[in-house]
Amino acid sequence: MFAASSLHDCTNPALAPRAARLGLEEAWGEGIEGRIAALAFALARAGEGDPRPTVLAAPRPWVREHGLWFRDGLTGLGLDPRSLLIIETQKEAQVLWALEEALRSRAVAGTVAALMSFGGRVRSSRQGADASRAARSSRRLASRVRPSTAALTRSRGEPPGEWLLEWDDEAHRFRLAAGLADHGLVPRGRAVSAA
Amino acid sequence: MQSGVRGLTLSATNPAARRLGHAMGQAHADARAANPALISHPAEPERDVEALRLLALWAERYSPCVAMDAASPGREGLLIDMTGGAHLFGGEIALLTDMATRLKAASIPARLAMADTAGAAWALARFGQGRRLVPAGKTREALAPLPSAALRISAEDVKLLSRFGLRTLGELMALPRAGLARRFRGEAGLTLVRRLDQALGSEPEILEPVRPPPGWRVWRTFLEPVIDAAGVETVLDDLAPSLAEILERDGQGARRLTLTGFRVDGRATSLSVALGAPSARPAHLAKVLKERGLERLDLGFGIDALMLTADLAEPLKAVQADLDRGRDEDATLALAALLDRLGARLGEASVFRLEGRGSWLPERSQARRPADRGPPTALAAPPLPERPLLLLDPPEPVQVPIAAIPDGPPARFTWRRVAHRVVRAEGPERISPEWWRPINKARPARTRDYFRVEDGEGRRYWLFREGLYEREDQREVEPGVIEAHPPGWWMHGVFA
Repeated sequence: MFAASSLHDCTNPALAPRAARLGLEEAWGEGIEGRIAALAFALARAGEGDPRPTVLAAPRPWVREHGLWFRDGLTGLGLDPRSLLIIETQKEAQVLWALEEALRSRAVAGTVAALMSFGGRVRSSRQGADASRAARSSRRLASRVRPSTAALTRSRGEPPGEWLLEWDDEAHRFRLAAGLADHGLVPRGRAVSAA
Repeated sequence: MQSGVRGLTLSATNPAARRLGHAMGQAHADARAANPALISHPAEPERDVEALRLLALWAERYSPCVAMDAASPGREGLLIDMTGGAHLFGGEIALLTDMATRLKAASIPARLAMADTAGAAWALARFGQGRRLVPAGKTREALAPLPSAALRISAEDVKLLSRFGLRTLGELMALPRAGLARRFRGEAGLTLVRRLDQALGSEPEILEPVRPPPGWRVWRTFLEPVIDAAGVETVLDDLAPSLAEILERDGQGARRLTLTGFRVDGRATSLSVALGAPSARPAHLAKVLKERGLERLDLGFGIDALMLTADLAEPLKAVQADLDRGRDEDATLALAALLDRLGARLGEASVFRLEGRGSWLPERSQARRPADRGPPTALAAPPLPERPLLLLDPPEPVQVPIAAIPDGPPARFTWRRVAHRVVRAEGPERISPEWWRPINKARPARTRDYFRVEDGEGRRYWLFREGLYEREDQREVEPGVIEAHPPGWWMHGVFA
């Protein structure tokens, strides 16, 4: 589940701005590599085009396993580190509490939370969403250098499907990749495969 | 008992010991000889002072200006400035009665006196007989019969005065000041005259309060003690609007709040919280304190008064609401309120932004900046090669059995017990150690060569080799002892 997106040229339900209005979204992947890919996918869509800060929240055990938020890496994803508000909590329940407080205050553009339970999922949401509720849709991501699939595994009102995604380093956004294109050894856009 | 130049001496005695003739300053050996059953404990002056400080905080229920007087051992006490405040407690007699009742209920033995000056009250509380409440203007008459020791002067000076035949304050008052001061060597004479004038009110005395009186305070007393956090919460909801009202009247917003509960056992318990931006909104003030956790207040057997103070305040910026509700200002206020709540519940260090630091080493290139200090200024950063989103802290060791060439990327590696075969690698990106930082010879800072590598399944990692072959592969464990320190491989992050 992802928050905002600037993929206005994309009509695919995996990335359509309409998804941004769904509220709570969830992304997940296999292993630490897949989870970081899911995080990148959620971050790339969170809070775009909104001057208010975006909240990133994670419990300390998650941070110990996956690492500290890295300013230079976040910048590389097209985010402005100054508008990111980072919350580190002792317990997972506090992450959900912080998320709900942030959303209720209407002071933030969106929230992204990394959780250990739910299989190490990343949850992100916009205003008005109830963070403790079940997510409206769920995406599985896998990290590959070459474009691969984004699978919408579960969503209300949308059929499941799979799409190829490619990250464009210059535009700082995902785009749909042509399945048969030759992506070369050094693709211009690094591709995150969103699964 | 305490040890001093005269060996072990008694530093304090209880009523039972006093009845048997023991007194402060008596040698411990003498006391034990006279009374073998004497029970004695080592003196703990720090704990005495701390207990007095706690009592002083409790006494703030009577006045915001409470000073501790711990200078003369055995005669410790509190000085409370009640100027203009006695009528709040039903007059001076009622005030002293109330104080005596509460202290007695808390089993704290105390002698109370009230007079025009702090010096006179001090003297009467310790040396006065019978009447301890001196009406305004009657200080001179009340002090006259007291012994000269009632002047807060040293024991030597008291002895000297008695040699001159001056035993009471009345005899001292009758003498001309200049002649009196000249009878002593050095400062002692001046001190004596100053103490006398302070007791009589002809020289002002400034009390140093145990904590600075807050600029804004509101409080409430209850007939029945409150014993749980739910009760405190109800009272807090009443207090917050009153505090907000006086803050708003002065155009101020609170930056630091303290909620103090006065316990029935003569102790005070308090809870403080800092606010990111000045605020005078009652709901917000109450909410921040509640997030901090009212259950952290140690209520003991119950509290019978609750005080809410703004210890620190800043001018409140007047905000004019736009016709479209001034959305920017709204968002700024809402964000400040959110940060206060998050900080109060999770701890102020748990909510932060990342701030750039001028260093090439990834782990030193950023620092946490508390969120309530606002966004950091932008640091002009040169374009960097690709970096991972998350940085493993500390870097995790990687086993590299083979590298294609000594200075090149690994061909295989094992990280977190999973073996990876490298199919592509990019690098090195060389980051030199910061030579201007202190050198630790046993753990020398070494050059790092960072590689971005991709394994057979398309997963990408950020690895570095610490140390250069043939140049940085030795270290000095002890002076003169050099051992091999081969370069090692570390995992610093995973790419998305």
